[in-house]
Amino acid sequence: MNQLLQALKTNYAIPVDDSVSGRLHLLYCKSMPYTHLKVLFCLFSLLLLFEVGLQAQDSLYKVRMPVFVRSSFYYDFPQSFGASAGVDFPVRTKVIVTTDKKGEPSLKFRDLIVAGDIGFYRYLYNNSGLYFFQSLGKRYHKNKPYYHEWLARVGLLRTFYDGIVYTVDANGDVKMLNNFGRYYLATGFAAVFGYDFERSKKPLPVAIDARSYIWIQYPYNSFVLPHLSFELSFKYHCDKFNIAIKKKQIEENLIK
Amino acid sequence: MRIILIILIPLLVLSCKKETVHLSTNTDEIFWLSNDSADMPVWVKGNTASRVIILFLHGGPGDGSYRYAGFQTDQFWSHFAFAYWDQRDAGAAAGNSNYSNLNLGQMIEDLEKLISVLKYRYGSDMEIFLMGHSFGGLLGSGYLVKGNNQNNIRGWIEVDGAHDYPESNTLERQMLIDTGTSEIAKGHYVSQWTPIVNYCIANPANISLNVDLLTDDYASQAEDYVDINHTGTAIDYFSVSSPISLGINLFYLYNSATGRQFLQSLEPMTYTDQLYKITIPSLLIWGQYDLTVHLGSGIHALNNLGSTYKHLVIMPQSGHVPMNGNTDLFAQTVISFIETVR
Repeated sequence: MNQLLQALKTNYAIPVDDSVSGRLHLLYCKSMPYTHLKVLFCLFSLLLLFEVGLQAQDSLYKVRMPVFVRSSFYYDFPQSFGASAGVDFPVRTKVIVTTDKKGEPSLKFRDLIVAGDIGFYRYLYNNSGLYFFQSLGKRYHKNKPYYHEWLARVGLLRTFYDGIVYTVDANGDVKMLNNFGRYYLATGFAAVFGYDFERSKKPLPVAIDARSYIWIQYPYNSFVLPHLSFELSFKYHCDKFNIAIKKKQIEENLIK
Repeated sequence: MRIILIILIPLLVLSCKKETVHLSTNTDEIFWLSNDSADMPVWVKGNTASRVIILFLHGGPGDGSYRYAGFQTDQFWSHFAFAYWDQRDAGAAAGNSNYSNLNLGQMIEDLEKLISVLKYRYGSDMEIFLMGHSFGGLLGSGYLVKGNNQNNIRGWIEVDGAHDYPESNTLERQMLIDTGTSEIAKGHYVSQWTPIVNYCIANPANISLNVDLLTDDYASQAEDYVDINHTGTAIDYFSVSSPISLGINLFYLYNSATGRQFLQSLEPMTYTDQLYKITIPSLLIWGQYDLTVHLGSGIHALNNLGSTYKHLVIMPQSGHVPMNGNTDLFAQTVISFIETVR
């Protein structure tokens, strides 16, 4: 079987799905004109049918998954506004195929995702912040366009005070400090709720989502400063950024 | 890459902007003082063209100054400029690990440097009046009695100022007992006054920080049980200062070991025996029903100040915050004082 699958490696333009099922589909298409390949395909498919009777089946293989680039409008309570840009990419995915008592299959997806964000905000008369965050979390979705995510984030925040910053040295001379601010460590959590148009009836390579963050900057006056932030994000799926990741499939059969 | 540049370029342009300071009848600007690990904002609002700045020293400690912008101080803005300074670790002040520098001596040094910056920024001929409210009265007094500092200040305005903590604590407790007993006898707010009076009788002043802080809370609460004005002017939390930074700074001050150590260090602080050193024109404004810093402290200060020109004005419907209780009278009194002595 490995030889067979190896033989199917091709430069064909659209093997978007490099998984076993994707290759099988390609094999089927390519074997149609050749009888002996068609027979082989049918035999191979027959082998797969033997797995159907199992109560649960785990399998692990690679699939190509979309990477999203993202731009967002940012709001930090009470009145900081800004923008951010980021990239979301999956590092592992799990599909749970459940067959209910009526024999109807349903799919649940659990994607382990990594995200990177860079952005800024401005709090007029207070300070501006430039931040970088790295996030790790899970995306949950079914075979519907809606999804939600939970992310843990760590990052670095650099503030710049709004207005001139002065300092006075030991001689009493006043000096201005250019672009003065402070560095802070930052960490927090994010909750995301979104809509992926790629899984809608008329697929488009975009998604939108709303994000809420609770995070702290540290050390702030020897303590922490909590933040409550919100983002409205527009995400675009670039085909050329698709990456191959491990996909684990779990099949659950509720029919006894 | 292009996206990153789109984000960064406006930020860099903004951050490189050079601010030019102009005197104006309608100044509205902010600058910062960075000193010994603390970065403190100063919001200047009003008529800098008048060449008079009232530098406001907020109370608390830890209250932040921006909240006082809401007490109809626009009456001052057309006449003079107000400089609202958030002291270190208060209001919108920021910094990294700076709590080891939180002490009264450091705050007096911050104030000295701030005066230098104000003179540098607005000109050495700018007339600066200090207005210290509550704890700001202690801070202002400490500044004025030190060296030649008062040479930089045109006038001193103390508003319900706690320039003598032990005296304030003693009078506060006695005032609560006397007022509470009287109100209970009249049948006013009996269930509210009774626990306050009982607590004050059972707990003498100046024996522990916890007792004095709780007595302060009772005094503040008791202002609702006497007949004083609260104009209810909206506190301007959201324009400049964040309620989150204000709240977190207050929380840490009153709940951390270092913060309480600072509060404890204030307990014996008094400048009464040094007030004679203050010789600049002085105006003392006190709320008649101030249950926190009793009018007696104002009378005592009036007797001890070394100033030739000194007045005590009582705000008849006010408690601890006369800017709130007698807003118009307060503004007229301050404006009149400044016009007279400048």
